[in-house]
Amino acid sequence: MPLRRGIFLWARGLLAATLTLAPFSPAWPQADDEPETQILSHEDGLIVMGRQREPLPWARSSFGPLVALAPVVEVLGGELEIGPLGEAHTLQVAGREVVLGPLGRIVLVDGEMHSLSIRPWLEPEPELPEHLRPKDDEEDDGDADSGSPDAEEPEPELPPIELPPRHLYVPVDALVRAYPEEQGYRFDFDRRRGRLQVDRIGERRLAVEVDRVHDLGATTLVVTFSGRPRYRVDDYRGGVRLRLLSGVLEPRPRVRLNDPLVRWLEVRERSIDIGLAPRAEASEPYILGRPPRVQLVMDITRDRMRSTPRALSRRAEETGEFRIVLDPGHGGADTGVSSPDGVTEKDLVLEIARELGSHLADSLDARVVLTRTDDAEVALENRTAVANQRRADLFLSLHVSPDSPWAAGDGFQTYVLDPPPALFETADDEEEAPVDDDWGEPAGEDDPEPPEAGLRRNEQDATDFEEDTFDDLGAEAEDAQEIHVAVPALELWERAQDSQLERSRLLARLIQSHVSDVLEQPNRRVSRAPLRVLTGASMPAVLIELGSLGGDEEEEGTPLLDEFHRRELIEAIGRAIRLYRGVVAGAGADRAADGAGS
Amino acid sequence: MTRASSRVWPVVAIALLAGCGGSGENGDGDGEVELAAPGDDFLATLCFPTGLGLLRCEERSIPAEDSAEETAVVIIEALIAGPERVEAPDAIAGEPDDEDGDPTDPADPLDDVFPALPAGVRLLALEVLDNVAYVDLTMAEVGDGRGERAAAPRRSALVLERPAMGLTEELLAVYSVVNSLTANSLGIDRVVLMWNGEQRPTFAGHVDTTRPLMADLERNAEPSGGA
Repeated sequence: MPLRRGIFLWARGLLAATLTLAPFSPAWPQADDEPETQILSHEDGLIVMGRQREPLPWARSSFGPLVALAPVVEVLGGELEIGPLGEAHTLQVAGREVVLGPLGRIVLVDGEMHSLSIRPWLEPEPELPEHLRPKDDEEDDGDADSGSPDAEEPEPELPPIELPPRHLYVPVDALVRAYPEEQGYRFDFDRRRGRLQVDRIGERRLAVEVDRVHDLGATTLVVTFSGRPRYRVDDYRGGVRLRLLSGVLEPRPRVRLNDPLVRWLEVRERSIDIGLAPRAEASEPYILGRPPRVQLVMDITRDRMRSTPRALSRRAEETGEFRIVLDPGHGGADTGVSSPDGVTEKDLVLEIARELGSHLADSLDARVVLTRTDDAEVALENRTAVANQRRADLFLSLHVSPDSPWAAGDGFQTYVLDPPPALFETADDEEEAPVDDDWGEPAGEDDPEPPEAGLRRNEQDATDFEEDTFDDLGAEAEDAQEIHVAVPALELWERAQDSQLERSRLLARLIQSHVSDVLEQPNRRVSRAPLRVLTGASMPAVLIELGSLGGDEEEEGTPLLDEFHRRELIEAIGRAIRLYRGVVAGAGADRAADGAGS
Repeated sequence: MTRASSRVWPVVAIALLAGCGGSGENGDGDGEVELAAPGDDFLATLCFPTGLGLLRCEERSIPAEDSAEETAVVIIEALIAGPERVEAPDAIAGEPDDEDGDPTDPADPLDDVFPALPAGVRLLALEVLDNVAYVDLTMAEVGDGRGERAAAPRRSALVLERPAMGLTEELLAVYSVVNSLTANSLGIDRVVLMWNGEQRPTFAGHVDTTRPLMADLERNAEPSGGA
């Protein structure tokens, strides 16, 4: 995780340097930007946790109460280190590093900067008579002028005076940052009584689900947590252990898996243990999503360089296959919508997906994969995972609409992803996401643009396609370091579709217009929507509502159940895909736009 | 007081108390929102699904409540109850944002306006924090009870504890709530939709609800003007 570590070190270094050098630096911004925190009074208070009560000095400031940090650490635990000048305070607690000081209204938590409501305040040194001041003969070379020749005189009968460390007074929200709720603490300061009430709310319990997909010789484990996990990965008895650094899980007994690479899996209270088959290797996991659904994804392969999804996909690329992943919506207990006759969406779209797949394989010589081939319940993320692992050229999710009055007629409708807004909001997450190793970055792995490329996504033209293929991506082991630099290894799964949107729209327009022609219905606009199933697709992806489960205008039954209607529909989709393939293969986007008739 | 609003009261009280605490220990507060005085009427914008796959927003006078949250509760309950009355087509200004929509057609499907959420859906709780409304819904009768809205029995909600909906219907339901809540100057910018206290990956199988949703005015057949 070089980049994250780099950011962390940079931020930490910045704050430490700032705190250290601030007294000598007139450029320290707080003096101008922040009003001085005026201390109005000092008070003696209490910190109360359960039956424990300890003294807690606190201060009324012009902006609110501040409490002494050290007594809180004494009670709650952690190691507090104070910098040589007494300014920078570094708290190590539960695997976190919290750095704060009196010179800025900020706190660094594991390198991540947060603002505070009030600037911490460092109590001044006590006034001592000159002869009682401590000797200044140690490594503190910053106060060289304080040495006194008188100190050379031995005074054996007087023990050396050690001044107590000056208290750093911090606002309560600094404590919340240092000991967040996920660590099991909740703070409430009663300024009238001077009491800091600390409640143990129990360690954060994380719900966890584990999904598994094995495809093309690789297994992808998707561990879904209800909150952002803090973890580390250890080797463990022929497998790996995801050890939680905070929070607890609901233990589940070990289950044996029918997977060539993962033998068993066990959820323990503080770890998830994964038993691997011989020679299987697990990649560094990466984090996708955000609470309440955070996914930790780990790819497992038998031989790293020969059978990774990318290597396998490249092999498939060399064969020139056109790969299409069809996703029959819903499945299992999730039936989708149903008709009055009991026809369910899950069954109908599976049937149509088989027919469409067969047609595309024959007419386009495409390699078609279905995300489910039976009545299985497949998580939405796993559907795109199949497409991403296969490095599919297209991903089509098939659905039907119910017989409802607001279904916009009985219409055929294509949708593309309306991506989540505000790319900048995800910047923190992107920085937090562990940088992946040299081959297994998140789903958008074929996009060579840096993460901020999403800002330009609307300018991207379909003619960029050839450049986007980035032939050398992951080609050789020795290129790995360069790939780290050039590839958006931090690209979130959620942004995987961003760079594909233009092509997704093109494909959707072509399908919409071709089908509208044969169905003799108005050529609707392509709709956009925040569709979960399209979110992680790193290739052009379209959701198709094939039609309604209701009857047609003449009440002659559901058209989608009519074989002739379905054949027309499928052939029209096939023609649209053929045209799309021709367009992106080199004919240019302009012709495509004309062909789409929009 | 409705059941939903009575459930929300403690939340509102806590939020108000927290807001009065005031010294910044708890992070940033919301912007100030001026509401009509309690007891006065409040002209609320409510957006309902239409037969054209768009939302039609209407203004309705509702009693002003003591807080933005309570007013939001009233709005959600009004959306669930459905439109008061189908108005004349001339109430629809402008051309609908769809190529086959014809506002001059006397049988314009925009005239068919429906409740925002399927029958059986109830508001469990509503909370506004940091300009985000957390709308917690539940199914009163899981698995059936579609009422007049749907002729077809749809049953997959048995497992999901939420209604099974087609994508168009789901989009309309989601943005009925989101566009209405954000259109009424309640200090709500985004909406998190939950079922039975949990934020699910999707609202009803398709629409991503893992993050707060912002208004999408292109889904309105006419500008609501408020968001």
